[in-house]
Amino acid sequence: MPNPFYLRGPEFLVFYVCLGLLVILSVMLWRRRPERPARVPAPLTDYLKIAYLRGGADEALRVAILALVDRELLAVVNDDRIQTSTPTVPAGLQRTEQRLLEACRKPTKARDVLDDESLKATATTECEAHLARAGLLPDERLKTARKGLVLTAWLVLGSVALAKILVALSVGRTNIGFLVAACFVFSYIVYTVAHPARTAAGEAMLGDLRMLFDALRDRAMSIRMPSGGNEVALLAAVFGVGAVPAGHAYVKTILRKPQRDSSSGASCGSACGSSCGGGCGGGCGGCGS
Amino acid sequence: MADRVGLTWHPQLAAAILAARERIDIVEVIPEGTFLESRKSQRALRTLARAMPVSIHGVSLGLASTTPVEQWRLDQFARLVDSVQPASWSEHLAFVRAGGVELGHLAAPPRTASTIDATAANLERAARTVGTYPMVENVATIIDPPGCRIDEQTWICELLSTSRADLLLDLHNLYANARNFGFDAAEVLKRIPSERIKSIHLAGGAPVHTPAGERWLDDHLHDVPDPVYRLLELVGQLVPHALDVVLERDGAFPPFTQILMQLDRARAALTKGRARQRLAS
Repeated sequence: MPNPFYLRGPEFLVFYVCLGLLVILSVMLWRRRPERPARVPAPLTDYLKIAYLRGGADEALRVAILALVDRELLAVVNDDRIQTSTPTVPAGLQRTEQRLLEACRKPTKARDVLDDESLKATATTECEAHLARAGLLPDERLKTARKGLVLTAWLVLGSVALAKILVALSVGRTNIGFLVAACFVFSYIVYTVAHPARTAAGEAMLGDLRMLFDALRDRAMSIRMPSGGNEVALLAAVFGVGAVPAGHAYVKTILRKPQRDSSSGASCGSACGSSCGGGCGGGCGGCGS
Repeated sequence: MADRVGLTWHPQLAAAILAARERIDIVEVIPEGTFLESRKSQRALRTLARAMPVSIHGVSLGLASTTPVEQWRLDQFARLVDSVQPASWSEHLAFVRAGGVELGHLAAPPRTASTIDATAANLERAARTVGTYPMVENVATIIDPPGCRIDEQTWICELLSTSRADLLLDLHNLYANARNFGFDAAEVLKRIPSERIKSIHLAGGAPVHTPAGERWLDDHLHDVPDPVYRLLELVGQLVPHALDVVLERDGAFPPFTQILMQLDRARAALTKGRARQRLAS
């Protein structure tokens, strides 16, 4: 077998792509190994934690607002604002719910509430540690293990690319753009693949809840708000605010996820484009043979 | 003594059931159609069983038949019970297929000595395969099955003395049959060995017109009628041990608060019966 570092540019790129795919596959296979079995005695029934498991602090806040509106502790005013409709914060609420009510003493744009970092931090404090302890979200140990996995993968990808670049430079070749780009792209993919938001147990828990609640969406039309319970909150926690009963469009509207606007799309596009374009723009067409 | 009161699981009611789980002690799941067939759904059911006691209630075995239940059906239940570890499992004293034809409903068997023996044999095989005996439920009927030699209560009592399977007594079925065939449900209830009654079903129904006249249909679409609560009170008085009481509602769902009120009413009836039992002893 020929030494791959002496392959010509296009052939080496094919080799590197194969290596990159192999590394990604290995990361996919190894990322779950350090996960401990879930220590969940029962399915999640707390809407806030289900929402957090599904979509993080943003979703937890979104569903909490909906739950508080359903329980008539928050009122929608002027179509786009929410305001606490009770003079005192009732006892027995979760911390995030309490903080939400405190934050909405005056009519406040729902968007501002959803963007409030301190509220997000409260939801994170309230939910993340619990979900991590239950084995549904990665805990510190797992995050460290994942970092090690990513660093190992990056080391493999980077050292092979670096070795090839040194070989190319030593023989006077400077067309290394594609290889550098490929190295960055694979490194990014490795990072993404190695960091799923939830553990396998977390995925299973969400899948179970979706299965158990699936037919509820058919009944959603008949659910009235206020529902007199946590039914609407659970529905939204499992399936998202979009699943709440029809006829409450204003709630969905104020809680709608922001559309990805053109500026954010452009910034993403340019970022990707520039890294690739740099390589392509150099007219390399190869990577140092 | 801790009686448990709950209701039949319906996916449409899932969120409401979990949200009100402090007022629901047990859920009964009919596994056919979803949970028997798919591993993924079995995992979901196992997850549910960690949140609250789950009872599995089959409708497809057809135990009360002179035809042996097919082994693969029993194997399916065995896998499910093994996977979910429910609080109990149960089936109906009915046949659901004959001559290769699926009837599509729970048909009352001809009440004869041979159906008692055949049912007991089926129960024995079920227990051997699954690991525990199912509780067996009396069924409602609007026609008296042809070929019957004995009345329903005698048939059930004979079966209970022949088999080690306990009784899941459906009080609405008892009430419906009493209305349809003119006997006193309370008197029949007193004849059933109370130590063998382990679980109770409540349901609602409605009158239907048949060529034989008006009959009461057990449709699970209506609220529990008052006489059924009175029968539950009597059960509370007669049965010495803790019971699982399950409200069956299969459609035309009222607001969930109304369902919870029926559970509260069942609890109250049972408590009243228990109080009488204490007074008597």
